[in-house]
Amino acid sequence: MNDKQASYRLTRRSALWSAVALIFAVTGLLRFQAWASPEVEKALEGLIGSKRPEVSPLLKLHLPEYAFDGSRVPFSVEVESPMTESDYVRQVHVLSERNPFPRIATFHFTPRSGRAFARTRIRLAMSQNVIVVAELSDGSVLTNSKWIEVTLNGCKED
Amino acid sequence: MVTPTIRVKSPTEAKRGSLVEIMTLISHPMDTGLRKDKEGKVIPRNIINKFLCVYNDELVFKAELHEAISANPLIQFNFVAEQSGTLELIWHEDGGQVYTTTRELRVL
Repeated sequence: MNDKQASYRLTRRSALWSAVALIFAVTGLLRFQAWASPEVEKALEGLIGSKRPEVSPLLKLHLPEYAFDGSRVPFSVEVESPMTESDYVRQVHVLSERNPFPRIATFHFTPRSGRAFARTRIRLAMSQNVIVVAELSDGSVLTNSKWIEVTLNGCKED
Repeated sequence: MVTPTIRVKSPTEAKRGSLVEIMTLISHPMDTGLRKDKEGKVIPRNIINKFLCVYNDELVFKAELHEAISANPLIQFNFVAEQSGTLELIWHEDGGQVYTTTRELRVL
């Protein structure tokens, strides 16, 4: 094997690998974009088992872009759903990527809820993604996330 | 332990089948168990860990709360009013204490 051949084979191999990497990167972005930290992954495993949530725009997080004080961040979540006996949102889990404890809250809904909406105020330790995971009555799991900039740590305030 | 103050914003009347909005506030420190007092001792965890809304003995909304919920937790949610009845709001604190309040809702 001469040098020219070797370099050609290397290029083709690297080209193939980059194609494979690109596919993984794209699917990875779609599937795993929502939870980047191992704590979140662990917490999610306890909540939804081995199911892989799908990123969906049906989940809407209302969170400011920027919060000075992380101890009281207004937060609300809404899942677009008809909320009928056959098609409704069972649970919505709220998780944080970089708080000392990954779980923030879980809201349980019934068809009587009429609207899969909940509002509260949350504590955030630093700038991070806030993740919501919704479990629907048909067994499917959806997720979405939003980045928020936080200046003051809301978990250790006096 | 100070008894928490509870504030509830809920309509007294609603049309049948309409969406009712309930907003609740309870005064509570929501101690995470991470903070320390002036002597450097860790303040033990004491949070409201569960909130329930029961309407005519039917559970219409439940929230599991963790350390990352702010002090004086605010919770707002909706449900569909089908018939007149009593709305029971229940807060569960760490250590087993339960705080409840009721509101009447008249469905027209």
